[in-house]
Amino acid sequence: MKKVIYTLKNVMKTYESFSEITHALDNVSFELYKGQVIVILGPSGSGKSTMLNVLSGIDNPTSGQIIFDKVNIEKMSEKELTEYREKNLGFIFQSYNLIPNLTVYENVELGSHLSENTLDIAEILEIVGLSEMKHKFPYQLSGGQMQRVAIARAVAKNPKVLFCDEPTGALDEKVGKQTLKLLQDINKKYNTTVIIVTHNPAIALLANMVIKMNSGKVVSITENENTIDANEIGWA
Amino acid sequence: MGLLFLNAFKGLKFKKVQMIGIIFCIILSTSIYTAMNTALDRMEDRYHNYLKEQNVEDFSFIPKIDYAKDYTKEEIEELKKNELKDIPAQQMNLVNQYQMTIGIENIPNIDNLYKAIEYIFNNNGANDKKLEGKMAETKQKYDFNYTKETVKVSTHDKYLYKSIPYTGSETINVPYVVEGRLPEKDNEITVLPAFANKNDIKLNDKYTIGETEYTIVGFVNSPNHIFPLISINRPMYNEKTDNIMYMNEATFEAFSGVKESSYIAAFNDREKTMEFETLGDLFMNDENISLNPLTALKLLRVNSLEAEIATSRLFSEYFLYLLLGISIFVIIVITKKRIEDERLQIGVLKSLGYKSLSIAVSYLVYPIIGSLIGGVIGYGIGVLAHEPLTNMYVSYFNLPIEGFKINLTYLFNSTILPLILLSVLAFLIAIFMLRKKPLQLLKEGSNLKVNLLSRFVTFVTRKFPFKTRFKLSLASRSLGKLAIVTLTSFCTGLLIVLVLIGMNMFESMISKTFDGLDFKNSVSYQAARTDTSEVDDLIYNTSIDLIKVKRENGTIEEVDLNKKQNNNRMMMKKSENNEEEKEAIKKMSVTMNGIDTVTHYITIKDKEGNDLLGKLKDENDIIINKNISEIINVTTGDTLIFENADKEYEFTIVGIQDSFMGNQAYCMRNYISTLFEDTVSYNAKYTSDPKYDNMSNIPEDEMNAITSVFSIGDLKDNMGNQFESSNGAIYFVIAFASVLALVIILVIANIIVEENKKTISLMKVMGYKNKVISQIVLNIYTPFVVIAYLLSIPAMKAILTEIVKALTKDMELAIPIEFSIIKALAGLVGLLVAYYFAIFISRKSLDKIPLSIALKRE
Repeated sequence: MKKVIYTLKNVMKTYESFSEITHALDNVSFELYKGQVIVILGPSGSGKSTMLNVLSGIDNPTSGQIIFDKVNIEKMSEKELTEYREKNLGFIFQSYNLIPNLTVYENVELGSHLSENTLDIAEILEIVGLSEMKHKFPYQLSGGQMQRVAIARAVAKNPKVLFCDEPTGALDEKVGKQTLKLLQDINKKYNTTVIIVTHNPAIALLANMVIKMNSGKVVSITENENTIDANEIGWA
Repeated sequence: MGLLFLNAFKGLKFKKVQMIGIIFCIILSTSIYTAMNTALDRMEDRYHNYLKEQNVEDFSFIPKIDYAKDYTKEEIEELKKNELKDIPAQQMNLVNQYQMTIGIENIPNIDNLYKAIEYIFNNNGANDKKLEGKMAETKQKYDFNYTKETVKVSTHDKYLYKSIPYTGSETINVPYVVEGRLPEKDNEITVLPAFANKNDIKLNDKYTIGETEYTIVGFVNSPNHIFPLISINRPMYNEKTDNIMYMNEATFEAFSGVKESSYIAAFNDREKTMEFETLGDLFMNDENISLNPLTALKLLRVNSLEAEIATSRLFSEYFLYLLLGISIFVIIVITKKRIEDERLQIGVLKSLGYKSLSIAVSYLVYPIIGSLIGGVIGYGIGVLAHEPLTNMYVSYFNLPIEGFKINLTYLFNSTILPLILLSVLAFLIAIFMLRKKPLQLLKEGSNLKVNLLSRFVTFVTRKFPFKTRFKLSLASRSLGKLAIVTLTSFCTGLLIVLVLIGMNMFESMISKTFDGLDFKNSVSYQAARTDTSEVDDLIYNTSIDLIKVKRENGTIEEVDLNKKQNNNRMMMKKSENNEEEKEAIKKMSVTMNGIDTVTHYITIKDKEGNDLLGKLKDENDIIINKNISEIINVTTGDTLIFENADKEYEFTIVGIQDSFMGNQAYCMRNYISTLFEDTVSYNAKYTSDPKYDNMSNIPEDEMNAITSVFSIGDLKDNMGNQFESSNGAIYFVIAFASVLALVIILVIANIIVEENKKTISLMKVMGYKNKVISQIVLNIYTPFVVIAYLLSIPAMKAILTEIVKALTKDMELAIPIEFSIIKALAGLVGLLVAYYFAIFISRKSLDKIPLSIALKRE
């Protein structure tokens, strides 16, 4: 039985500048289910990053409702949003955003430190294949390794939802697939809802749900019964 | 290049805090530098001319009258009929005694009588003719002129007065009229301009001292009292209570006070100046005169300004360099950071063909703007602020001053010097950092490398809690910032510790000096007196030479001193070849104080605080002070052998007083006074009799017998008052140090926030609260601040110990340098308050960092 984790109802995000109005999100409504891999797909300027921002509480919608686990988050204060992110969310960025002066282990610890229900760091490092690199600094790692550290950091706090903003954008095909495989494995192992924002249509094939966006609107929502392994996807 | 510079200039608005910090440092340093030097110029320009124009004395001398040989009985008889005819009976008795000793040799303790006679003769001009005969040759030999100066010192209520007779024919120490005129008629007086100002006195006002009313006709400076140290009772000049008055001779005669006479001289060559020790050497072997030891005190009144000017100039220069040094550090950090942040743009520029030189020049915007704005404003503030500073100096140093003149050197040092220093260094740093090839700069992650210290810290702190490791890793990331914060904390700590020790030192000195001194006045007499007292502590003191030590085991050793330990400065020599000189250092001059064993005021305690007076049981018992015991290495049970007039006297040590003031010894008064005066007597007393508080209350016959009244109460009040008034300066220094630390740390904290924008934004996105982020990103230098402060304590103690050692090496006193834990904690709290306040202010900018920065794609 699918459990709803996010419900969006008529969500708008509007920007005004010099009497020009831009609808970054235009009357968006959908539901997301727990434990799924969800891909938000769209070209540059389609509103997918804005979508990530409002879902994760980084930004507030102009109007509409966003319900997470039966709680409206659009009305939350700054403090409440911080707590919402602290307790529920993990983030993976295109540019890794590792702390240069912390080792691999410590970067992961930065994530686990937030959670009372943290996962074992050693175990996480094992899963991402970086156990032997735990005392290395980011400057000593390749791009793929850095992204794996970022994944480990995000997962270590045992989040309900993992937001991934173009996680393979800076990686080549091979490393990108490895990264996506990792996300799949984490999704299966910990039942973490993984939301991937990307412009790469190939990645949509591994998702349980694909939300296509364009010009702030949701163009289509597709549910995928037969997802494929990350290693088998083509590459755009 | 112009575009790059313009780009950098426009970027200044995003570096407001950092620019304000640099400008503040430069303003502070240049304003203080300009104000102090401008004020000092006004004084110094006038000072040397003033000394020449007023023909200020160069030294004071004592005529070498051999009272055993230079006078005949007939000459004394003549003096008794003329110069000495009006002296009090007691003094006449002494003169008669002296007359009887002429021609007789080996009279015991004759030196004391000669001392009394010298005092009486000098005070009454009895030696003048004898001196004239001797002086003709001496004057020519050393090319000076001389005169006799007689003054009177008196205290009334809280006021201290020095009166000087004005005849109109002064050739040395010519008074300087600031306003009004010099006295002509009876009961006309002049006062110091500072005294008039503090007491709101105007010309022609009436002024009463005792029962006499005077008219103030002028505000006049005494040129040999630039620093008006009137009495050793009051070593700290107080312009409100200390005054020097000129009056005509008749008024002077009628004025009641302790009379002091001395011969003063000024070299005819007014360019000639000599240090005290040089003067001492000059007259060492002269047959007719010797240098008056009071010359040191007199020169202090004139030369202390020079020392003040020299030290103040030095201070202002070092202060300028110190703050410029801090500014340089900050500029370097900012420049480095900017280049690191803009490495991609720089990489692109270099790929396009821009040279490192032209790129580096654009980073000069910080030092140029900072030093020009800061320097010009600082100079302006300094010029404005110099006037009150000058007035402060002038109230302390009585001297006419020149008008204000623009000195372009200070403008140059305030603007161009910082500009050059800061620009050159910033440029060199920029050139160094821009040495990388374009590809290296463009390569992602090229800025991520971790320095050696960071790696070491990571290794060492593996077992520490996460937050601590995070803070330490951030702190060790930038050595430059760490160095600035640590150095600033260390320097601030030095200043704070200095003032806290200073306060403690002063308090401690006062309490150790006055501990056990419960009397109000110490009165000294020209000659021994035989009356008794139930309420005063009577003392017979005399100077006696310690020549040998007899140990408990019976061995006898001669005293053999290092010359700096010799109490008599006249015996200090550079050459040790002379037999006489060698002889001089084989004895120690000791002040022997004969006291009663039952005292009202005198307490003599050992190191443990035990009273020693009860140990004086036998007439040959002696208590010595620690100074003596350490110099000649003696202890309780040893016997000391003294010599006077070829006779030896033995005393056995029964106790050692915990005091380092001079070479002091104590024995039973009835024994020592009988030895030298043939009767139980005293020549000094400690008393609380209020009549000695005001000279006019002392009966005339006693007044004529007194050589000095030393007021402990006055001295204690004087030192205590000055200590209180200097508290304001102390708190100012602490506040100044804290503000400086605050500004520097604020700049650094601001840089930290900027540098860690992405990390801060990331942590906000991850769900860290602002308070927690602030704790682990901003509050990273606390251990370094604490360690730097703790290090500054022993550092300052060591510096002060050396300074005090250097200052007191020729004095027989020790100044305690103590620093309590409570004061240490108070200082640390002060510094941490400044630190946390800077963090608190920086938190505002931290809170404003948006979450979107973490989402930006590079």
